[in-house]
Amino acid sequence: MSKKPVHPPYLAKKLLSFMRHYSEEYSCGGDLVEEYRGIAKERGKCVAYLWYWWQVLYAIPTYILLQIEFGGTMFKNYFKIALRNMKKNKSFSFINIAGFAAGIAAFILIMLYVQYELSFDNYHKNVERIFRVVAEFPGESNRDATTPAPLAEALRDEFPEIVSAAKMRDLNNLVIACGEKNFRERQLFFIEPEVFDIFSIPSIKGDLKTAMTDPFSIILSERMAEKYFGEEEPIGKILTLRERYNYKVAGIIENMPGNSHFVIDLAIPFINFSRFSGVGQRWGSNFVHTYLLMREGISPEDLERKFPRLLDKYMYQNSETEESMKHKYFLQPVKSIHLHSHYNGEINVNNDIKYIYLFSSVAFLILVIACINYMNLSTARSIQRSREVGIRKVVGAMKGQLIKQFIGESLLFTFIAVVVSVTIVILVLPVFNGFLERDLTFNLVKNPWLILLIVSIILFAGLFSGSYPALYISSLKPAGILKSTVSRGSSGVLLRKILVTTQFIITIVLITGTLVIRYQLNFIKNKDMGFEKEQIVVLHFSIRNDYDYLKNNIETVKTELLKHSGIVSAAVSKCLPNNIFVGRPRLSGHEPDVIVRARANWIDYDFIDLYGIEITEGRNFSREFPSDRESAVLLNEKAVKECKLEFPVGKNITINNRQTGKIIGIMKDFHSQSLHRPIEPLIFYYEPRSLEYISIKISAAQIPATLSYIEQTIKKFAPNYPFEYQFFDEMFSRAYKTEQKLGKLFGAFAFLSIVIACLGLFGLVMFTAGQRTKEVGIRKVLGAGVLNIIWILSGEFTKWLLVANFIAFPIAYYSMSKWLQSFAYRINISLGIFILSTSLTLFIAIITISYQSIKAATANPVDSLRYE
Amino acid sequence: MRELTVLEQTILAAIISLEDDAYGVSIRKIIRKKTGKVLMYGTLYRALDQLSRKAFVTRKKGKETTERDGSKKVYYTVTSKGKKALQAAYKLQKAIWDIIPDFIAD
Repeated sequence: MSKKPVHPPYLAKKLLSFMRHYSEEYSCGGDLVEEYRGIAKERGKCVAYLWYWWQVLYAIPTYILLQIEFGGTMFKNYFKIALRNMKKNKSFSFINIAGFAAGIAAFILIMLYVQYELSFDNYHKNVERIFRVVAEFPGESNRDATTPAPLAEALRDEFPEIVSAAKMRDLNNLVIACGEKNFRERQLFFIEPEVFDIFSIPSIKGDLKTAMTDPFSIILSERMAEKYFGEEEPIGKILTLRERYNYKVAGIIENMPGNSHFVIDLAIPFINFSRFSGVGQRWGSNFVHTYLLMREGISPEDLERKFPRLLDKYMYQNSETEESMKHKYFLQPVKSIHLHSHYNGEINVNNDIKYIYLFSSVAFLILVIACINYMNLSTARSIQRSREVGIRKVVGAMKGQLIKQFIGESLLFTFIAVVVSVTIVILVLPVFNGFLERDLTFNLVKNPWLILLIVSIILFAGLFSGSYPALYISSLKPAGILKSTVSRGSSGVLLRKILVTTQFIITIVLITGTLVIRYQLNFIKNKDMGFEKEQIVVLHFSIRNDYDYLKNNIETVKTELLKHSGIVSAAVSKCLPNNIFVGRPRLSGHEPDVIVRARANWIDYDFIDLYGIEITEGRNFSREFPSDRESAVLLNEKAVKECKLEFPVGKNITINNRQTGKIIGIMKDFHSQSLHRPIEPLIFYYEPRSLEYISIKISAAQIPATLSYIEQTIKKFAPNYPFEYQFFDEMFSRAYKTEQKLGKLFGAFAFLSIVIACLGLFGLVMFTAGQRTKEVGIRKVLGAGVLNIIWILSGEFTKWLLVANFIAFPIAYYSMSKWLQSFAYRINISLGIFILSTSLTLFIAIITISYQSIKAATANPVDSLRYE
Repeated sequence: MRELTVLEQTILAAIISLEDDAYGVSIRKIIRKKTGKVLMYGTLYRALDQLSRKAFVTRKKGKETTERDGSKKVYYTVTSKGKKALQAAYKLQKAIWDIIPDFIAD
């Protein structure tokens, strides 16, 4: 015997003590302890520990079976009564279960989404130690996700604190040929072999790292391999990029999960990047994403502190650069990219943590509404059963038995509701996924928290809604119950009213939120952006060296296009007017101290006219002034103002301290980026050769014919251009896709919540009307009118609804103004919105109430009074 | 009356063989030693519970001991009813195997 007695695991012991059969009467607990000690002594504590747990867990199901076997008869009776009750109040049970199930389903769906969004990039093995290097320019508020190409190598050379560093860069819209077939790929990655040291990207075939050192090999994801080669063996096959470069497939990687901030489907070695883009790999230009894997125990702050020295050595080469003009580099945990990062040059559009908070709270609110509703209806209904309780008591039921019966019954109901809601989730998930463009799965095995959640909903809602009837009704005196003196159940009324009010507060907040989002979206849609959006077809030519022939002959292309009667005008540009984000040349006017960072665009003669951008002073680029090709620039009013120029037209402006531009015209300010951002200073150059977009204004008639003419014409100049056109107004509204989705989703949930809340109200009025049948009958006999009675029955609920409105307004106002702050241009939350949401809720609620009230009020009093 | 299951027979036999010392641990131990069957406590107590509900066994509390964390041992004895049932079971078994007496020999 050891000196110190070994104690079995506490939790398991506790669990055992709940099963009274095993612990006291039969002394199983003692047996287990005795044997536990024996095993601990012989084979070690660990084995004994596991053994104990195993014995206890195994005992649970047999215990339950035993209980049911012997307590069977009573249990069967309870079950039968529960089902009979359900059948007796069909509509009531339906409302109750449907509302609750819908609420839980909505909650589970949102939580699945939230969990998915939070799980981004979490699957990488060393996710805690993976960082992205981001850059901050002097005088810029927003950081850049991109860094110079040589940075990764410098990091590897200079810092022993990191395991590895790697750069990568994505290239959008690329045509890849495989034999005769052409595919347009959305994203191709240029990567360094070290990428595989940092991220967990499992290989299926081939050695990925060696593959990425050979300049002419390509790595495919599983789905790409299948797309190009089907069942055939992909390794060793040739893919042709841009009609010139042949790449041999050297590796296949597993499909990367959708919850990654980048998804590599095609990757070629980074060494090729200059060939494709014509961009040199200098320290000056930021265009790659640099990631690094930190050694364990090193804090990112320590490394960040060493960045200035690194930059001095490599970027500034220890030359005299003013401290305030230097770039600053920071480390960003890779986990935080998806939800917290909105820097310039992100690989994909990221989500925002704000929306995650918003959705979580909506989910929670809906769950609360659903639970309240459920409890409300269950308690209301249970009062009708006081007679049953009376009889049970008279024939000898104990209070404990009654409590068990009621709680068991409500657990059964909750269980049914949860089963229904899980079915709803499984059915709705594909639609929900399509809408959100995510691949959420409802998988209980992978997400144990779901089981926990469901079980806790069952327990919480079941126990809470069952406890009122269980504790209250079971304590009543049977004589009183049977004489039906307590049938009003007045003690629960206040509680129920507060619950209903809370429910409506939440509903009104959600409705107001939906309205505000709607109004803001309409505001965006109808706001005068300062340029035209309608009837413009846009063709995108992404890469600099691509389609040289077309770019060199762009004027001929335009003349060709204009021959068609359906084409009004055509223009080329680097950026479209709704998204001018490239470059940030430093402008300075007369005062050399005033340096303005502007956004730049490169356009041709027709761009300004095509988009209807207003020139307030001076003139547009013109064919009549050949000198415009050299140094003429257009500024917008904002740039003029910030540069503090007076009478700007005709004056010169210094660009980046080197060039001079002659200002020939001033553009009226237009929204050159989304309305989230304020208008920035703009500078336009004349340079049609740097085109990325061809914009074609067409007339409304015979659009299909015009489009096919455009296609033929473009094919003549760029035979391998996979013809894809977009309408500018559609591209424009796509920028607000997140908000539009949010609006729709919010609307759907607000709708759901009002439906649930009204179901609750309906049930409650049904109940009160039923309770007051006799009262109504007597009132009618004494001469009360129908309206009078409707008022008596529904007046009180209306009062509570109004109270709910007044509480809801400040909450809605506060939360929605927070949301609106993310827009630089936004609506004011006016009183009108509140009035609208109030009348909407009142209207729906009154319809709900009056159905029952009118039914009660118009009933023949003879029927209701003859009731005894 | 329902016949005894093999498990019940085993447990009854074990209790009889243990005489005055038949409680959970010892019953489980002797069954393991004699038959090689390892019973889970859940199974054992479920069977003991059923046996005592049918009055085949009676329970008696023993003295408190420190090594069992203060829980008393519960001793089992087989009632005459239980013995009869066990005998009946034995007769049945024997009758079954008498049908094919040579079968067991090899």
